[in-house]
Amino acid sequence: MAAYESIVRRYQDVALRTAHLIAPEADADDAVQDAFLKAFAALPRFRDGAPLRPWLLRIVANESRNRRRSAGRRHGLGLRATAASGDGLAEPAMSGPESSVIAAETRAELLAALSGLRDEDREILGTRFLLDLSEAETAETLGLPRGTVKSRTSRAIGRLRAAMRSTDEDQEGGVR
Amino acid sequence: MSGLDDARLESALRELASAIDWPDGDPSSPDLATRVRIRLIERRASTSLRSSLGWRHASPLRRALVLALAAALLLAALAGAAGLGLPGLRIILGEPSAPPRTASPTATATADAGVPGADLGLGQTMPIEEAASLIGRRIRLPADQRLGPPDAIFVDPARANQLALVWAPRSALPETSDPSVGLIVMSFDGTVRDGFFQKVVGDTSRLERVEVGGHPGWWITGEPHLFFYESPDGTLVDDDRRWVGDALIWSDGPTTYRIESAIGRAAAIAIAQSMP
Repeated sequence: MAAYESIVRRYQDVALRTAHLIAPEADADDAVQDAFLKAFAALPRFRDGAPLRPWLLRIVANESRNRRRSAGRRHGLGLRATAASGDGLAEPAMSGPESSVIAAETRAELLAALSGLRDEDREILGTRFLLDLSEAETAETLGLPRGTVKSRTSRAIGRLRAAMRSTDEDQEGGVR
Repeated sequence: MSGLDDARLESALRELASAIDWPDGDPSSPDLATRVRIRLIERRASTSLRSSLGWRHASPLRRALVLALAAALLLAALAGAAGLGLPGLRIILGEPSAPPRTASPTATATADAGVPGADLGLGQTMPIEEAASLIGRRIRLPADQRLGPPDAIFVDPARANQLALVWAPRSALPETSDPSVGLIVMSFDGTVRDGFFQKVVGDTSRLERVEVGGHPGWWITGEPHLFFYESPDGTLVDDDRRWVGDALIWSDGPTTYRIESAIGRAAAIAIAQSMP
């Protein structure tokens, strides 16, 4: 059991983020605890040699979806920026200024657009890019064929852009 | 912003990750991995009980899991009563840990080979005056003349100021499961709460209520034990070191004591009661 505890410790951060992405309105800590308990029971079914992280995250994702259904939508409890930076959108720690793609003030716009997407789109963009999982890991985590990840990502990116465009049009001078 | 091409929008999303307020667990309770471990022990115990008809033919591991129920009940009671936030002590009897824990890095670095108990991960060795100063409480030594002063003194401040006095085997102290150790008298900050112990039913391990100098105590024999306690600051300490023998546990004020030995209940209680 000590070995399993070390596994939990190793993956708990990404598990908490996965749970929060999929069900921002639910208690991620509770979901992750339950998911790790279920994963322990399912360990005998884990295929030797398969990557552990996406297998665990799939269980976390399923548990979080169940909780999302029961939690329902609670306004204002979606993805949020950190509070430490006032508006929560200070420059993130990057390797250098050239690596920053977006200006600080536009992160709010991006975050709002992402939070406003339907669950399926937020899940795929969040898993693929916020968690920075590979296509294969994203497929395993979300229980999708790899080809579906590719096509669904592409469509979600399109909808994200459309959401931001409508925000741009509403905000004078907001286009960058 | 909406004019970014796909690649740059994907990069922007990756960058956004560091600006999101991600959940980081409940800071007021033990860390997530520890809570998962505790819940696993609870779950295994209840599962084992449900199938306890096969107890007599069960494997040692299975029996150990049933024993864990006592701990689970204890833990649940404590969690309910103390909200995982008050000083207290939790004992989990269950699977023995594999090899002895190597303890904290400081302990490992300073344990002296050849010193009784040096392989048990008990902490740093030091003179008694220094130990008393470090843990900030009076060190109570057994008055039994046959024991003499302890052969080694260990302190692990990270484990609720744990103090371990170790005696090598001698005529009055038979060898324990560690041939270098005849007796360990441990103490640490924290209290045992009455009413949280369940009697363990089993043929290899028993938990028995005793009285030590007017204080409630417990005599634990048999299987090696997995031991959790909660330090006064609310931290759950996982003492996964394999115990070397039968154990007597009691608390006196804000301090809890544990004696490990192979001398039997009466002699252990006599030693405990001789500590002024």
